[in-house]
Amino acid sequence: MLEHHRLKALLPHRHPMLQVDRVLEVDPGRRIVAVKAVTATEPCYADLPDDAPHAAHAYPVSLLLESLGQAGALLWALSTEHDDATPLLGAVRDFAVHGAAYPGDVLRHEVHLDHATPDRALLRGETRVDGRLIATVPLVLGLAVTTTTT
Amino acid sequence: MSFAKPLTAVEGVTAHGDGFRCARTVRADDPYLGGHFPGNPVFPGVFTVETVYQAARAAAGGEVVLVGVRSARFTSPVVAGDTLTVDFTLAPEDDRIAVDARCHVEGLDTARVRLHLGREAASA
Repeated sequence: MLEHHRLKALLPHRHPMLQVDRVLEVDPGRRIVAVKAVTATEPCYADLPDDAPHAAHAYPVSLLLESLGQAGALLWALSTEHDDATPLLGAVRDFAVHGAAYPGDVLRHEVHLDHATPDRALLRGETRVDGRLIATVPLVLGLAVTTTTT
Repeated sequence: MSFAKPLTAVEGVTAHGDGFRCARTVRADDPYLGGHFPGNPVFPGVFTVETVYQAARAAAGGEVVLVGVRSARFTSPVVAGDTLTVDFTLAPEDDRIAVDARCHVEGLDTARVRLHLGREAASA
């Protein structure tokens, strides 16, 4: 298990964009299980009006994808040496949204590394909340590494 | 469900050619950018997806939600100060709407994003 402080050494993302809280399991080169707790204190909920319905509190799909992608980036970082490179989302294909997560839910990501080159990783993953399927990326999630971040 | 918004990604959508256009200037003090990355604000690729989603939802009349990202390819980073322009089309596809978006900054392509929108009332 890797606690949050270890993740900061592996990813350049920081609060509030570091979207993984803890790594539960990792099998370098193969598989990772990571969690992120959704809370009402996050910036995405700051401007919701008091009368906003439950549905308006669904965690943004963009941040869900970011969180899943960061779990993949952690797996990649734990599987290879890429020094100070910044992992950036290169490509996504067939990311399917099956449900929604709300404040109080814990996202559980499981990501598999299918193929990695020095500057690119092909991954696939899924996200569940209490066993309920929230999202899947059945084919490809690419992460392009650029050492120069302009 | 309509999903919360990590940031207001769209400032207005206008008709453009066969589809629509929206533009948004990225600011270093936009929500979340302080952590992406400290001292080096880069508009996250997922926020380009968010921008396309919010713009397409507005153009479609609002009663639709994001059900999938068919494909997204990011070819050039978008940084603070850039004005991200999104040109997109909407096309009915079975019971969904297919969105095809070209994202660019001053003519330089930054991403191609294709989404599926579905009717509201997906299971919570």
